[in-house]
Amino acid sequence: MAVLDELIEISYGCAVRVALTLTLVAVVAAGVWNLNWDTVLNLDFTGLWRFRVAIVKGFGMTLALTAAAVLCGILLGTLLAIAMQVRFRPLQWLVIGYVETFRNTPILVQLIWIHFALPVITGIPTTAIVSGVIAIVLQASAYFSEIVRAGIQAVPKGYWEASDALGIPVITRWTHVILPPAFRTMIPPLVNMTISFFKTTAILSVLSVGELMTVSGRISNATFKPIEILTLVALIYFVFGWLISLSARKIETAMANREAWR
Amino acid sequence: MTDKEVVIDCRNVVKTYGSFTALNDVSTSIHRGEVVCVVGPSGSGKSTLLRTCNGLETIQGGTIEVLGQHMPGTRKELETIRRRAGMVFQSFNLFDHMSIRENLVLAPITTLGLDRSTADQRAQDSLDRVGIGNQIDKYPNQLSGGQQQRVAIARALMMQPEVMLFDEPTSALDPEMVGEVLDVMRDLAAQGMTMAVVTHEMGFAREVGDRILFMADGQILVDQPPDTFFTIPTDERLTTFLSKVL
Ligand SMILES: Nc1ncnc2c1ncn2[C@@H]1O[C@H](COP(=O)(O)OP(=O)(O)OP(=O)(O)O)[C@@H](O)[C@H]1O
Ligand SMILES: [Mg+2]
Repeated sequence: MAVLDELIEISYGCAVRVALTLTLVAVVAAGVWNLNWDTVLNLDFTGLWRFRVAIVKGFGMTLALTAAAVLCGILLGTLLAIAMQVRFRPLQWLVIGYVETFRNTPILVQLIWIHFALPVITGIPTTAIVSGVIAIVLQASAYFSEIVRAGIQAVPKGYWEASDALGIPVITRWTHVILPPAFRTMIPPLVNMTISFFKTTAILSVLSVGELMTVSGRISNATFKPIEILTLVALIYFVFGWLISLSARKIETAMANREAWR
Repeated sequence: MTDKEVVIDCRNVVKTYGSFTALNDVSTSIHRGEVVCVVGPSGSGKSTLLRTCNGLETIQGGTIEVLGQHMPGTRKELETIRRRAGMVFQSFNLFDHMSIRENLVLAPITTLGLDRSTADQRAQDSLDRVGIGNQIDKYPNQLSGGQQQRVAIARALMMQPEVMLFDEPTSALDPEMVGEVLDVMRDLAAQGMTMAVVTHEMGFAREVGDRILFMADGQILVDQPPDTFFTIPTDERLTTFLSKVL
């Protein structure tokens, strides 16, 4: 009896697996069948070669914007996170207001607001690139401050007590005792956030800041071949984003190994 | 003993957490060179008493004077007092991302303005004093619990403190490592260090302590030298406590 039950169970499992596979194949086949093969076969990527310099420049701009967002974001975010630890209510409210504002409004709205509304209020006009950098840095600092805050909270309470008991000055406590272990636990979320802001830079193309997505639009207008350039650009974003996560995993493993070795 | 200089003086200290009273009108003093052990059931306020003496907790009533300085005083004064009063915690509280050497020299370099080589030399001396001079370039998690606690003691010694506060320094240790830490503390006591030690090690308290305080419910119920503390219990709750731990 037991053997029979087992047989039924196994054959049942097999049947489910076969059914799933067949469904998957059918869906893919239907998709491929319905493709617009005329268009697909007539795609011509070779025409993009003459735009290589523009593409590389655009990508350079994307990287520069990402770097600005991440570096300024971490710096400002760390200051915000430290400000949150200071026992002074008004300062804490200010930080909370800032962080929540920038985390809970779309970057597109912030961008347009900073570029078009802010100059009217302040009387200081900003170029597209300056507005773009301001917007992405402000949002990045809000997100990074949350990561840094979590990192600081993960530092054992004993570190605070010991530095108090030793009379270690406040600045040294942050630079030597609290932040180094905090940053260590923050590496995985920091990398995720970096990839996220790498992708966010594409939104700045609404102000034509000259990063990869802006360049892609220009090329598509010039060639009347949007599919080729968009596909290439997607591929570039994908490969680079993927490289960042790969290297992050490498770093994590290396660090884990170093900890284990100790 | 009483003619010696008073190092720590608590007068009518009250410490509350919300509506809960952790220290209820506690008065006691510790004189230079004295070793005072504090025992009592869990939650009786032993740690709290020690921590208020180092300004780690603020008090709601009474006064505390440490080394003639009214606590907590200004921020600068508090930091100065903390440098002159070393504290050792149950959980060691070493900085795991720093080598033993860095753990030791950080405070003296940044607060006493010691130069690197003087600090290094002092680190070596402190570690030798606790018997692990050969471990200076390792990291905390490469050491056993007993060794880590000895590093913590050495780190406190780096500031050349005039009094040391120990909060259950052996409670987190495997039994076979308790002895090595108690040995270090015994040496310190023999060298004349003023010490306040919260401990469950009755043997140590009896042998090394000049006075033993018994605390319960946020009060000091008994304050006796070891010979009378153990042999002529004056308090019913102490009798119960001793019957459990001895
Ligand atoms: N931060 C705090 N908030 C609220 N209550 C606290 C806090 N710290 C300590 N207490 C309470 O104060 C009382 C005394 O605590 P304390 O740590 O001094 O006890 P203890 O004698 O050291 O006990 P143990 O032997 O378990 O270490 C306990 O009842 C504890 O719950
Ligand atoms: Mg305690």
